[in-house]
Amino acid sequence: MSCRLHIRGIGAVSPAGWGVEALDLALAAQTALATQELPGPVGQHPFRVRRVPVPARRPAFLTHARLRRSSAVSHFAVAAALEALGSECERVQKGDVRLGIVCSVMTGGVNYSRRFYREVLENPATASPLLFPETVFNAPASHLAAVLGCPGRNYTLMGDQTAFIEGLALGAVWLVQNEVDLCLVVATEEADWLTAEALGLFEPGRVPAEGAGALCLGRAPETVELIAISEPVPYVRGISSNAAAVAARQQFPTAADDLELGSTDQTPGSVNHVLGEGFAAGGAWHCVAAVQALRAGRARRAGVTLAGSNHQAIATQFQRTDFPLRP
Amino acid sequence: MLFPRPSATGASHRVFITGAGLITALGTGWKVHDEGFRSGRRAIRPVRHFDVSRQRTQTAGEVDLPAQLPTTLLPPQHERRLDRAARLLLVAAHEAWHQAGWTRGPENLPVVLGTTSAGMTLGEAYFRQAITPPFRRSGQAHRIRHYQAQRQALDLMDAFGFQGPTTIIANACASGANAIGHAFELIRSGRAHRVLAGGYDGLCQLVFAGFDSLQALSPTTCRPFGVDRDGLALGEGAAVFCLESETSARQRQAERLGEVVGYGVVTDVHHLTQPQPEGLAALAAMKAACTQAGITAGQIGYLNAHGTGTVHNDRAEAAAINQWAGSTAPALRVSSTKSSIGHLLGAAGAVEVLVCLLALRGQWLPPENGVTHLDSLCRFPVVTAPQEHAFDFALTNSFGFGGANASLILRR
Repeated sequence: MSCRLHIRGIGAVSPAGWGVEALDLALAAQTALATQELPGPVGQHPFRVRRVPVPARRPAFLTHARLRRSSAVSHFAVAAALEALGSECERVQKGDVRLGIVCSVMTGGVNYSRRFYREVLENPATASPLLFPETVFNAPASHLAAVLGCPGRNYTLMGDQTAFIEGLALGAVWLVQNEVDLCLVVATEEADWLTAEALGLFEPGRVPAEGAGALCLGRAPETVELIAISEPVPYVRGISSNAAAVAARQQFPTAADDLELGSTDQTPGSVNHVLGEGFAAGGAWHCVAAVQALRAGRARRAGVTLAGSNHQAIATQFQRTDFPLRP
Repeated sequence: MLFPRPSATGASHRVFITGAGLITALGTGWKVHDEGFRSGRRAIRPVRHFDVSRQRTQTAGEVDLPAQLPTTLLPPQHERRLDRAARLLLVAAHEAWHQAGWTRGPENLPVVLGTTSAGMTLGEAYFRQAITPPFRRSGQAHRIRHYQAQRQALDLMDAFGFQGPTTIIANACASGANAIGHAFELIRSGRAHRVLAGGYDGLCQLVFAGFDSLQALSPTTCRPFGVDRDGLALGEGAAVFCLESETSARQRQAERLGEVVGYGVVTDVHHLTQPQPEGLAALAAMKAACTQAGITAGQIGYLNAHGTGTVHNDRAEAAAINQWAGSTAPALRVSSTKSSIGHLLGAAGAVEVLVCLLALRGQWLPPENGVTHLDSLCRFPVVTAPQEHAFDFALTNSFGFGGANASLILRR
């Protein structure tokens, strides 16, 4: 089975809006997006976050019965995934394509978890059975599979910002081993005062953001190819996140000198500066931005290095297929 | 590099278990579980770990954690910070690691873990403090740091002195089975020689109240496949395995405790919490596992069912087993050990692999407790009393919210 894998499609939901185009425009403008106030618990100050704007038109997929009780984290995941899947949707729904799904989360369905636990503390006998099922980490991936009618492999991975690239590696393995024909790799998060407060404990001043990003990986030739994914470098034995990031990136014999995106980059115009801290979804936005730059011909090879908050560092490289140099 | 992987040649490698450890409400380690399952002991009792006085159900398979954690490379001040789930994981991993005779070294050793809640008790404590005036930050950073599953994976690396890629699978109650299955695939495909894999979950108030809110918990006793079954019992625990390739095990002259030979994984898109009534996804998972193992249903000597004791799960699983086993169903031995230790959620799949391993090695069958009248849907016998049994293959099913369905097959 061929080891060459290509990016069939990309999708994004972010504070810039619904779709890759909105993300691309926001990054091109290099201006930090406006923040919104998110109320905290009673008696506490509100938090500054970057929310996903209300869509101009209600997405059609929201009429699916599975999504009626679901929270934003699932809506974002489905929207980004459907955009990445594009015209392949129909073939997947007909069962003509074996689709794998890997969904990564760091904070997951925190809205419903917080609401449900609050109800439990008040009186567990009256806590809502409608909320609890949506608190499981794999709810977004499950809803996505239901929307697509997809009975194939479906894993939800937990981790920090690096979990998206880990998911990319897992999807790549499934493809190389011919377990699937296409693999949707998604990461999704939703804003909540609980995560905003927690982020402030570690990185005061960072603005949390919500949304999702998705890549659809396949074997058929496309404009952009997945070149390599490094071994992750876990934060053990006192290694710093910066040193881990360097160790991850140095595994590639050739640097992606055209475009190098990194999660530690807070400089004006960087993904984190413009969009905010998107946790696992932030990892996905970096990869979507890299692939979009390659598709648009703004770069020939792009690298993404993610140094996660509390797990590991990992790096990946993409390249235009018409760029002959391979590492 | 994770991709491309130069070592993946396309050849299929055999995958052996050379170490395994577990902790459940029955106790800690192989011996106590061998005795407990063999005699059909039931370890469900009133929950003491948090307040359940206002819940519909007040019992679960709660673990008596050892007073002292086993000695590892973790400094004492770090050990003290570990929450309940992390302690369960560490205890199980310690037994597996030492049984396998693995030593610390520079090797890139992958870790694959399954969990549904990770350090949720810390998440709960964080939330309670965050909403209770006066609002204090004391201890909150620690709770966040140790709440997430990646911290528990890093703790394992620090405890045993290794490092490597981590995969943490959160596929609800199939997570533990998926973790073993993924580790199996890593070795089988030649992408790793050795993998540390397992599942773990600790009891916590949020999840207990969640299942109670769904009225999925039995207010009496958990009776999987019983005609009068009325729900599941929750439990907690962990099981960890040292898996390695035949070459690696042979080079080390390691004892092969058992072999993983098949893994089937399918998604049920019927409903977020309920299985498709005919168990079609479960059927497909069992078939896929058998195909990979190169065996038929008739060769499975024991099936450890997911068998939660809920009306919906057991009906769908019984239908799936009936169809899968076909004419061999009357000879198939089935039981659900959840009646003894409860449903261990993210740990369930891994613990039940170890139950199968114990049964295969001892050539006995773990009985169910409390079932007096079997549901007529079951065309297969359910083991309700301890018995000896000669068999070579065992299959274990794990199904979870979100439609995660996984089956694993072990060979003696």
